[in-house]
Amino acid sequence: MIELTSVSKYYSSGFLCRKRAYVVNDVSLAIRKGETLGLAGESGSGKSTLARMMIRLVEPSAGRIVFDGIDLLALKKPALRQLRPRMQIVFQDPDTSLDPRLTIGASVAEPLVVWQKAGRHERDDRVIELFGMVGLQPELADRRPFELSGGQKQRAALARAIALEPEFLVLDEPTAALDLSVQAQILSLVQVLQKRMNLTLLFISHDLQLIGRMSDSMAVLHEGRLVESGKTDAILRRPSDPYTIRLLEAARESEEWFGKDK
Amino acid sequence: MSLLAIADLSVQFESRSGTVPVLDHIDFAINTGERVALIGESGCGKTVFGMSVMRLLPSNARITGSALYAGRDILRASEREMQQIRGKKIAMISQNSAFALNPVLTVGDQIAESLTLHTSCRGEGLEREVIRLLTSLGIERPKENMQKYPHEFSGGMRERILIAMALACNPDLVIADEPTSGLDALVKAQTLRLLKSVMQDRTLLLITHDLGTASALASHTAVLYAGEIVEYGPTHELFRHPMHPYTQGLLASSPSAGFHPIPGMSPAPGQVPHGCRFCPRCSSAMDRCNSTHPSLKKSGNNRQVRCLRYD
Amino acid sequence: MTRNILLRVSVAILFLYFAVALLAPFIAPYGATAIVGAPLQPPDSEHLLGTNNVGQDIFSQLVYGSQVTLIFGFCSALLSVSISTCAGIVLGYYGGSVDEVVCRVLDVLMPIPIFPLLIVLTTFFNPGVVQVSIVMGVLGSIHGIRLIRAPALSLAETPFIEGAKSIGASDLRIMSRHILPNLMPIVTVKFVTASQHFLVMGVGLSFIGLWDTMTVDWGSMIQNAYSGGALSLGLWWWILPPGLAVVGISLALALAGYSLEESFNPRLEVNRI
Repeated sequence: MIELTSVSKYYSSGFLCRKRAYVVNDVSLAIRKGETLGLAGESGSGKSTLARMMIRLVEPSAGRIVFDGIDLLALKKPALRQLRPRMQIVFQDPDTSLDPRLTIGASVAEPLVVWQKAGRHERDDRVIELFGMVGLQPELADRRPFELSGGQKQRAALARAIALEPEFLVLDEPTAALDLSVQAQILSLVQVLQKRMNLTLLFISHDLQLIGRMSDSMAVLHEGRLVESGKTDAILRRPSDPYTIRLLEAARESEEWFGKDK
Repeated sequence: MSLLAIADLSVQFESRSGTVPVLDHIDFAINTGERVALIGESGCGKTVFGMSVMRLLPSNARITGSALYAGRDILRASEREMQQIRGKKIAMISQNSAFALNPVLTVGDQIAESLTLHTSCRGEGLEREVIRLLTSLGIERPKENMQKYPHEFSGGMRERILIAMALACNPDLVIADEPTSGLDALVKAQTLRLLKSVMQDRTLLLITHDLGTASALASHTAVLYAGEIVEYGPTHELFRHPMHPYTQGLLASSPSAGFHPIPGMSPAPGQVPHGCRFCPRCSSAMDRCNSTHPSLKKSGNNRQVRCLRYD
Repeated sequence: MTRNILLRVSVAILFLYFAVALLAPFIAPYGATAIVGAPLQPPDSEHLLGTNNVGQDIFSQLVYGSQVTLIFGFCSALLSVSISTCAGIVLGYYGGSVDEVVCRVLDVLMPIPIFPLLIVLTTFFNPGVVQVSIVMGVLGSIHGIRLIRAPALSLAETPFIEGAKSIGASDLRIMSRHILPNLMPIVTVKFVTASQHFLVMGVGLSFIGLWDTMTVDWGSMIQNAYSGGALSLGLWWWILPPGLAVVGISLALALAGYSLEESFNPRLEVNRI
């Protein structure tokens, strides 16, 4: 579905721009259709930048990205715009991912307006249908983001992202700011939607347990470099990179309390 | 003998649209040497609880009840008395954020601040004390590091400095509000290990939404839901055999326990159901749960639970 | 609460000024330039505010004069705020090298004081009110562009704007539907403060006679009274009314700007638990 070859992002500085600060350094990976790739890494590892490059919200400095056989980086602006509905993103912070001045109904309808899908009435119906799909009560459509809880805001962001029936969905730590029980709600919703819409997912998280739950294969990013990638089960069972091992140990340590007596 | 005994504590906020109750009739005690975690999700009132004990609530808050600290009601203490208590007797480890440390003061000065306020340490003695604190928290080359500014440290080191500031006057009670939120997995594990060792023989009130943090640090845990304590008990037992349906649901929704979400959402303050506050979301609710508000009852050895099923 | 009252009071005053300017022909008993009585009459029932040195009715002049003064102030402000909003949003949203170059140019232009520059320009070109208003609007927008650009820049990087990009919304749509509405509080405050600024400046320019002296406005009225010796002769009805009118509207605009700024301040809005 999507394939990255030696993708890098750097910022140049210094004399004649010869110093380069790499945010993402030579990353190659691929996601198969209908699959979920978990991208793990700590803050500053470049995982958000990588995700934004995959749907070309950020321009890569080097490399090649092929989306469903289309060379993404060769596209001119109008062609890229035509491709946009096929790839969507949900952001980490529920407070800033929706326009504070619009009602959430209007925010969810926005993609339909931009692509002039359906007339006014059909659009309203579609918004209600989308609300139902993400488990939001239709009455909430007239509320503004600040009147909603974090979980409700992420549901609305999800509704907006799936409004155009994308094939590829990026989830950039969608539950990092949410409570445990809300996180479980949102992520099981994501799994339901994935099955229903046959979505290909990029799931970003710093939490290896979540990645283990959500993904088929995974990649670990450390300081902009890909240190490990492969099947999730295999990596979690037998990590090979020392950094992954450390991450996994830290995750196990905070899991102790379950007293599962393994 | 309880170090801090809170009885019938209620907090309401007055706003333009009326009064909003945030905490309801909290009874809660911490004995010397206990490390108690208060866990709950956002909006349940846990942060307000910590702030009421420190008497740092905004002016539109109405507090009733009592909080006896060493036999004295700190809810009725004057501001001057509170200044004597804060930092010296009860100290707070603030959440590690960009704003937790003053960027224009050296970390040594910031640690020394509480010592100059509450003790007679001055000059060389003060410096010795700061160095001793930094060393005890595993910061190498303390003499050199105390001259540095916050931005020169990593997140993990800043956390150590925040802990050093709280421990400076050797307080009787340490309150830690979300000490691990926003930290990366590696730093978090490291911080937990450190907190575990320095809190070994201290009294701690830990406020957190993170189950892992609570289980790593606390000897006892109280679960807060919609402004009420719904379950209390020794951490180990409580996590292994949760009694209240909310606690059960909370544990089951964690990724490693199968990820089973609790349906619905926590009620907003001021809009709690009449009967059991968890009733609308509870899978094992009975008819009378709708109408009868359960009280926090003893159940077995030092466990308490607020649920009609255990009546 | 008090802020709300301040805002209401200032809006009521502004409304009064506008009503007078709009309904001038119905309110003023005489024409602005008509000679209708004996010179230098103190106020009486026939001439509410007396007459000036050539026997023109001061109350009528005050009423008609409000038109020029208000139009000048608000039109310059509207022009300047429109320019700075459009330019600020475009620069902030696109960023890049164009933004950098424009910002450097603005940095150079910024320290140029508008008032002396206008004096120089008017002495050479002898323009009318409209031209001066346009020049003032353009020059006044320099500062505003920087003011709008900064928040536009930070808005452009927020996730909801990225989200709008990702659904394929056009740049124009993003700027007009998402960025502009979120900047409206700043734009409104800027408009009100700029109106006050330009209005007072307009009175000043007219006072030193920088445009057509035949137009009746508060600046030229004060100038007339001043040069006619109203101060030394103690003819208070001649010089005080236009002066007080300027002070009144300037104060109302300043209060409105102040209270709007306070009510838009997000830190005060977030006061919820």
